[in-house]
Amino acid sequence: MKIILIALLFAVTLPVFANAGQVGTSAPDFNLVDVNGKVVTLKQFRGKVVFLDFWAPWCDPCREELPALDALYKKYSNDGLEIIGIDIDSSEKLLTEFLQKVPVTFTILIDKKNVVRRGYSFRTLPTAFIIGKDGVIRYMQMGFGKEFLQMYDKEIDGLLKRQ
Amino acid sequence: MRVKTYFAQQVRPKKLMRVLLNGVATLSMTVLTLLLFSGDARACASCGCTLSSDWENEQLSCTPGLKLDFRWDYLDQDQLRSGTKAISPATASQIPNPQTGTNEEIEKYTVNNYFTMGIDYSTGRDWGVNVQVPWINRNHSTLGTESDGYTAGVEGPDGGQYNSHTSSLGDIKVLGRYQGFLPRHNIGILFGLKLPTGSHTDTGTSTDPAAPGQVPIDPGLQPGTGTTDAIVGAYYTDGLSLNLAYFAQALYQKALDSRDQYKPGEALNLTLGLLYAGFSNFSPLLQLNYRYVVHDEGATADQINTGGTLLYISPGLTVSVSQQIAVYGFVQVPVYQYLNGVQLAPRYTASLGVRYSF
Repeated sequence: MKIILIALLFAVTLPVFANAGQVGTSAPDFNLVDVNGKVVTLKQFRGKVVFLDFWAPWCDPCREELPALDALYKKYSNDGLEIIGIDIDSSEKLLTEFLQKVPVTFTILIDKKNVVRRGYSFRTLPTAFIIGKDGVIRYMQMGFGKEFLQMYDKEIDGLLKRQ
Repeated sequence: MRVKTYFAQQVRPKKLMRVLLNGVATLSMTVLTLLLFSGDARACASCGCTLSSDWENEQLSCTPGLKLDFRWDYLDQDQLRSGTKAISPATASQIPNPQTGTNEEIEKYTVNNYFTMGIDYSTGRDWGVNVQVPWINRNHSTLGTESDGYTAGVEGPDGGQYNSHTSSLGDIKVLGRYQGFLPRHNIGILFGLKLPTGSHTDTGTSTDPAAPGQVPIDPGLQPGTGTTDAIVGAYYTDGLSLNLAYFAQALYQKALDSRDQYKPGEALNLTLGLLYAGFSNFSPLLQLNYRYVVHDEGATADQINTGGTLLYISPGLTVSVSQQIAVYGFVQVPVYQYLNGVQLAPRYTASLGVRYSF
């Protein structure tokens, strides 16, 4: 019996090794509405560098991150950077209240049913994906610290300069 | 005659099974913890929040909808224990039982397989309900009283040696939860019932030559207790670092009534868990499970050899096979046991399960 249990435990861990990381793969497309009800897809930004950020208003590090991302957006939007914040798992009331207090100029989408989140397969908020002009994920970062901003800046700048 | 009950002309009630139930209950709580925390636990550290999809499973309790869980629990009770120590059957057979006036009854083994279907439904981020439907398969053997610990008792018709096999529906648990107190939904309460759906009148086969045939088995060995129990509890989750989160849970269970002069002892379960969420497809989880159980009550209950204090360590792993399917396994190993009287205990318990989110 012990052998069977060990074998089964081993068997269930096998799929782990079959799953590669996401950097270098195509970013899954999505179709979500923004806070004004407008439908937005990832595909429509092909040819631009996209900073995709999953966040939620109840997440303290996310609250710290959003103003910093807004500054990044203002710096690079004219060069072809698009920042999309995807709110997951929060009520509309909470989201509205938060955005009134902390308004941002980039796109905020709502992933009510966690459909997009599942496609990107992450477990931490915030999680950022930087997607190249070709639609391929070039960078991924979990969590937020002010020290990350320098890396984001460097990564975005490099990708914007690529054809 | 050890226990003056209506069982007097049959095999006397068995006493050790509450330990089994203790073990199962603790393991069940371990898994239940995972089910209940199967949503985003939202454990936040200073640099990020863990979406604890694996206390276990994908985005459950915060996402409206239905989830199914099938689980196998395995317990082989083959170790006699008294107080904090393991004892030999020969030693156990010399310990007097003040309730019966004879020496302790000696059990050989109890092998248990529990197959449980869990149904979890969340109406939204705040409310949810979880139903656990167990099917119990159990083999048991006892040598009875006046045994030398290795051969059957010689007390005669009341020696009580017998074997039993049980395979039937157990007691169904229905638990509601509310976690809408905070925006992070990381604190919640649990409330529900254990229903008397399992049989409490199953019989075994006496191997006592002086009293052969079918005999009722002890309340503790029955698939169900026959009682309705209230369950209340609370839980809390938070982060320690970006990928490390913890949770704490307290659950209290108490029988609201008794059946056939039997009432299971009330129980307190405390769980502390640590989750690592730094891997994309699997989550290691480590739990400490504390369980305190009071003696069973009633004329047909074994009031001496039931209850105790138990502390388990439970390492586990959950693997996300797909977006909808997760497979998990856990082992529960006792690190401290204080068992009242003489009780039969497992050296470990194990659980394997698969979960599907619609």
